[in-house]
Amino acid sequence: MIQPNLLDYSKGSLNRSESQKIKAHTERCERCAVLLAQEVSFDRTLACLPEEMPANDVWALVRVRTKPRRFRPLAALEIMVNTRMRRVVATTATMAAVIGAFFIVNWPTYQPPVLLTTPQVVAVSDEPLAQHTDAVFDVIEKM
Amino acid sequence: MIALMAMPVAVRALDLSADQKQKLKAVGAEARTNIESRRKALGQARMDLLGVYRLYKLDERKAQDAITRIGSAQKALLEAQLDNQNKIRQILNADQFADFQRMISTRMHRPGMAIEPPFEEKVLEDSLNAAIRSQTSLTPDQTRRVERIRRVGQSRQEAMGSMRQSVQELTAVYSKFDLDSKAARKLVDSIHRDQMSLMWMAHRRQQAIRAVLGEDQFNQLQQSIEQQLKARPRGDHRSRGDSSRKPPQGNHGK
Repeated sequence: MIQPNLLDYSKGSLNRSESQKIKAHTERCERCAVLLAQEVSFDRTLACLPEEMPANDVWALVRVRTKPRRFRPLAALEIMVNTRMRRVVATTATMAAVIGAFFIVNWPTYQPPVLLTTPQVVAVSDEPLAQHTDAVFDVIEKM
Repeated sequence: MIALMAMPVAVRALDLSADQKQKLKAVGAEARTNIESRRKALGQARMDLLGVYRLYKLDERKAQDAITRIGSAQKALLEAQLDNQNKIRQILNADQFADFQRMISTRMHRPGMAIEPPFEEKVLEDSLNAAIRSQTSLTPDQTRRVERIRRVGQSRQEAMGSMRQSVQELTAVYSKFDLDSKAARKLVDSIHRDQMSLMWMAHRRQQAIRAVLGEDQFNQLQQSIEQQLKARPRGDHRSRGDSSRKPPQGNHGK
């Protein structure tokens, strides 16, 4: 019971009663005292060695893959917005896109107003309403 | 949605049914045919009158016949326009008509704000002015008398002003869905009265010119008029002075 605990004793990891017990024993038992000295020496030697990691540490790879990400936007959206709301948003966005496309296709081309120079002949006395008549025809024909 | 996208903007704006659209197209086509034929008749009568006025010896019978035909064509055009307005109101409802009227307004340039006599009359006026300025071929007495003839232009301005006023009022009447037929008829008659008065004024001026000028002097004046008539812009009088506008369909006096 003494020898397996010698290393922990040397590091001060044991409780008070166990430590006193081992201390009293090593003062009396030369064999255990030598073994304690070897354990302490070996531990110091190990502590001096550089810490090296294996080149292909599988666990390291596993940890990277399985480590939870701190922030996931889609997951956050799913938590914040319920399914019905998501459907409403998706439908509205689709409709807006269709209406936008419709207006882009059918947007009337701007025609700058004709600058009238003076004197401006709008009509001849023979048919003073000719312009109005032609405008009516034009509107009807373009339907 | 696809059907909506395929529709012309005008139809969508008016929200016309297929039946309304068909009726409106038919009315428009019929009115255009009618008005084009009247314009053609008017143009022919104007040409005939111009032919009569080219000669020093004025053929009163031919001149009066041409004036009567011009008057009839002018009246027929005004009547056809009024008739067309009535037919359109039988097809469209008040809201549709308001949109229709808005579309017409965008295609017009301040209606009735500028009305001019036929090109040949303006040319005659310019030639008379030139003759007075040069004073080479006219005696002092002739110059004074030609000046008096030229002043007839002032009475013409009054008739033109009255016509412009009536045209503005008639355009305003035509812009309302509830067409005041009585007011429209009155304005049509007023416009036509001014047209006839302008024509008779022009005819009296032709008579007066012949009374003042000798045949050679008249031929000299006529030569100047012919040169200006040949140099006139293509298209009829309505597009004159504004080359940026589309030449109209009618070809009066060509």
